[in-house]
Amino acid sequence: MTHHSSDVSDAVLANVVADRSPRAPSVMHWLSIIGMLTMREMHRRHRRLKGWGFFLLMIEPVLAVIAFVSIFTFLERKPAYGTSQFLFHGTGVLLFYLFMRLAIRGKSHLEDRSRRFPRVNEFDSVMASFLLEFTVMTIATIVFFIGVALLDTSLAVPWNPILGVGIWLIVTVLGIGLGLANYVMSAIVPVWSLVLQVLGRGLMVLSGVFYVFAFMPTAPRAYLAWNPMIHAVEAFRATFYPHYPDFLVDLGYLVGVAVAAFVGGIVVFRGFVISR
Amino acid sequence: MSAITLERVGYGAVRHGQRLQLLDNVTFSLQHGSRTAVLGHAGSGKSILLRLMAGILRPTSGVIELGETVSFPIGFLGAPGTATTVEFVDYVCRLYGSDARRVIDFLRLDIAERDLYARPLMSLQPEERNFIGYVVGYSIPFGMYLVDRVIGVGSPRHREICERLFRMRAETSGFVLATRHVRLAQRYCQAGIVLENRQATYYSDLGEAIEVFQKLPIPYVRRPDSSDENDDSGDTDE
Repeated sequence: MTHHSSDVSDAVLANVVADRSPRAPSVMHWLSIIGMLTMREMHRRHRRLKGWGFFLLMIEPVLAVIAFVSIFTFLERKPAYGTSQFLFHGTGVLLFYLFMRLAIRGKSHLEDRSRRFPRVNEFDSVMASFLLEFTVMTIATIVFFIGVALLDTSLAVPWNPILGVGIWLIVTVLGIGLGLANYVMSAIVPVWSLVLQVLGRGLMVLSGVFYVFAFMPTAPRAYLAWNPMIHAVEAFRATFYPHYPDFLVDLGYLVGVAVAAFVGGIVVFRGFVISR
Repeated sequence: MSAITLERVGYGAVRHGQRLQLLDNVTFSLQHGSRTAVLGHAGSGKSILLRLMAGILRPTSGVIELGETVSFPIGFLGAPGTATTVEFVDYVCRLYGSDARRVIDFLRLDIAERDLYARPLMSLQPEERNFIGYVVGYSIPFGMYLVDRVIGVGSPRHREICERLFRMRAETSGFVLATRHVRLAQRYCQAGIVLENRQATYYSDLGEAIEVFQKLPIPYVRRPDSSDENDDSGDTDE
């Protein structure tokens, strides 16, 4: 036992195994794992870009806003409300992007269970990808509105920031709920993620991103009111424009759908993970 | 509570379009700090059993209860993707809340800096890569280590390093060592589990387990008996 042929001393090896007490799972440790998985997820998305991945993820929604603004400016159309193209479309597109990015994933990329360290479970990995989307969208949005406030209109500083943040979080909850369900669906039916991409684009038109809900004719209103995202977009805009016509917004409905989607998503996801 | 308890555990998988029951009705429990050999011939389900205990596989029936921090099978690399060695070590150590610097400082004695920092782990020589996996595994503190087939990998020098790390861990922690080499089991273990025909039988006395194991028919092609316990060529428990 004491005879060693190699030149490595016991002291050197003892240092490798110096850590003697196993780490009991704790909330702090779990959070650090989630944080680490989030960073890992980011690197995975843009492998070749190294540290620039985060920047690229952030710039895409902002570019989408600029694209819409350019189209509307080119068509010489005024925004449906207010005078600022950037503010009107920014409030709609960015909130919708938050929802889309959480709810609709290109492909379910849960690591195969047999290739994952047992400390990481399915729930941690999806939470990390949600956290990445949320962080990226939140920072991109804040930067965008600061930019608009400095360059375009002072309205870009919300007059009701608390409600604005609240709606941002409700949409996050809604998006995570649907995202969890969609993870399961696209794992069972591979075509599902493709269907969702198409549905998502369609939903954007139905979510009041380009128009004001209250200015619509009454006939389509009754149908559109079922879409929780239209309530979210309208309520979110109303936290920027003090006189925005938000009398059709039903926040109770939005919160109800969000909570139901969240609970449903967790139940479906849990059931799927256990059955696998 | 025992360190590891298996209660009527079964595991089945679909291979080549056929449903195979690989383990059936496995029941035993291991105490804290116990040193157990899992004896079984190639294909008897040793690796499956270890992966079930580690939580990498989920039993298709029955329950596994852990009263101890149980390692992944030492040497397990997961899916490192394009991560460099340093990124990989950092990732695993942070997952288990241990200090990656000790491992990296140690690996630097042996492996070129460029290989550690600039090359993906998966692009290293398999021997070197597996050695890194073993060092990382032993560096993390667990109450119970799961060791599959070999205690160390790589060059003789690297194998010796692994063995010494293993012995240092075995001073304070228990372990489960899956092997079909009786001498390896005799050297380290006190108790034994014999795997045969999808069933597992626990013997608190290793000698008894070995006696039973040696009477088992060797399945498939009879290989020349290898005296080198580190030989895992042809072992197909995957």
